[in-house]
Amino acid sequence: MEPWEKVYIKLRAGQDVADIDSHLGRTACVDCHNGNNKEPNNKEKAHEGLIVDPSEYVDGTNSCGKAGCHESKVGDYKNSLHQQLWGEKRMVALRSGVNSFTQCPQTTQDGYNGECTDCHATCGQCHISIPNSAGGGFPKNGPIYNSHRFRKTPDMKNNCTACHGSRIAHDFYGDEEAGRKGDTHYLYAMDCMDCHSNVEMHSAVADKDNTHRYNYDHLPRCENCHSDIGTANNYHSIHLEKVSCFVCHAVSTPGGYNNCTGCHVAGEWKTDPEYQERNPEEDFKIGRNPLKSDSRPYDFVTLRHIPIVRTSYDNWGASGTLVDYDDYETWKYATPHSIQRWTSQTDTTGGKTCSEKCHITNGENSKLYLFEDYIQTNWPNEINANKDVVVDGHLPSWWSK
Amino acid sequence: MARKIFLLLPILFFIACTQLTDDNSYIKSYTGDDGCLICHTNEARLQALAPSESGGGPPDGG
Repeated sequence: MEPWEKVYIKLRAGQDVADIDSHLGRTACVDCHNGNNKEPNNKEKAHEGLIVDPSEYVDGTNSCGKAGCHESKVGDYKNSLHQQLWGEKRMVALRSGVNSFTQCPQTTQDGYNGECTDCHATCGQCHISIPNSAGGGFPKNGPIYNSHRFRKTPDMKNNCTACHGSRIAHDFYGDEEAGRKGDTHYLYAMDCMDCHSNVEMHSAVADKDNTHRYNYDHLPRCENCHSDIGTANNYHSIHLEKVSCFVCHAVSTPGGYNNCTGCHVAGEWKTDPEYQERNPEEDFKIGRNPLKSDSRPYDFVTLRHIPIVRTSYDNWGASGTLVDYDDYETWKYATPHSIQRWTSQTDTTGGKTCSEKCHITNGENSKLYLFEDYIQTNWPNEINANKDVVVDGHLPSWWSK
Repeated sequence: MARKIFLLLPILFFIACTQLTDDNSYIKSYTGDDGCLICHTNEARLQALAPSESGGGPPDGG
C-alpha cells in the first residue's frame, strides 16, 4: 500500500465523515490525535504534537479510555494477555532464574521492551488500522478503502493474521498450489473470532507472573462445540484423556505445519542456506505434555520448537543471564491451526488401521515423535531443557522404535 | 436459457452499480473547515505530500 493510501479517508458522493463512522461525527481528529487542524496548508505545523496512535497506552490509559467512552474495556485490556504478553514475560523471567519479569536484569527488560513489545496490539491496531508490525495504515480490500472506520469486530486477514501470519495464517488458510488444504474450520467459513472471543482478547489477567497462554480462563476449547466428542467413536473413547485433539487431527504432512524454527533461531533465517541445510524439520512432534493439569490431562501433545537458545539475549547486553535455560523445554506445547478430520495419522485409506498410521511399529512413524537422539543430533545444547517432554521410555512397551 | 439471462441481468446490473460507487468519478472532497480532513480526504494532496518511496509491505507478521 502506498504511504498516502494508509492515511486516506475516502468520501463518496453525498457522504460526510460522520457517514463513514459515527465516532468521526462526534469527535474531531485533533480530539484524539492532537496536531493543529487550522493549518491545512502547512504539513509540519499541522502535525506538530501529533499522536499517531492515540490508543497507545500512556500512563495507564489512552484516548479510547476517556471518560464516557470505553473506560472499562481499556482498563481491562491494559493488563490482558494480548496487550501485555504476560505469558512470554513469564518465560523470560523463569529462564532468567527469577519469578517475575520485573526481577529480570535491567538489560533483559530493556531489550525485551525494545524489541518484543513491538508486537503489542493497541486498540487501533485491531479495530481501525492494520497493525504496525504489518505495515500500518487503514486497510484496503481490493479497490475498497476502509478509511478511518472503527470496526467492532476486527478483520481476520487485515488484523489477526497480519500479526499471527507465519505460523497461524500459513496453517489456517492453507495453500492450494502448495497442496496444503487449510484448517477445516476455515474451510467451513469460520474466522478467528468464532473461537477466540472478545472476552479472551480483552480480559485483565489477575496473576500476571503465573499466567501463560495455556493457563488462562478464557481460552477456547474444542469441547465447547464438539461436546459429544468423547463417545463419538472407539478411537475417541480410547484416546480422549491420553492425547490432545491435535495429536491426531493436526495435519503433519511435510509443510503442513510451520514450526517456529522452520524459519529462524538465534538470528539465523531460512534464507540462510547453511541454516536451511542444518534445520531438519518444519513439522510439530508428538511429545509428553509439559502442562499436565485437570483441564489438560493428556499424556501426549503436539510440540513446536521455539527459537530460544542460551545466547538469545546476548545482543541486548544480557549475556549469561539465562541461568535456568536447562529447566524449561524448548519444544513447547502447541495447538496447530491445521485441523482436519483426516490427517496422515487418522486416514485409513487403503486398509491401514489408525494405529498403523500413528503407533510406532517396526520403526515406522517414529518421525512423528520427539526422541532424545533427534534433539542430540540437531540441537545438542537443548537436551537438558527437553528431558521432560521427549517420549523415550514413555511409549507402550509393545511399540518398537 | 432466456429465463436464466432474464434473472441474471438485474443481478449483474446491481453488482455493477455497487462497483461504480467506488469508482473515482464519484469521489467527493471534504468541504468543511477541519484542516485535517481537508488533506486526508483529498487523494491528490496526499499523493503530493506522502510520495511512495516508503511504502509498507503486505500483512504478514510472525
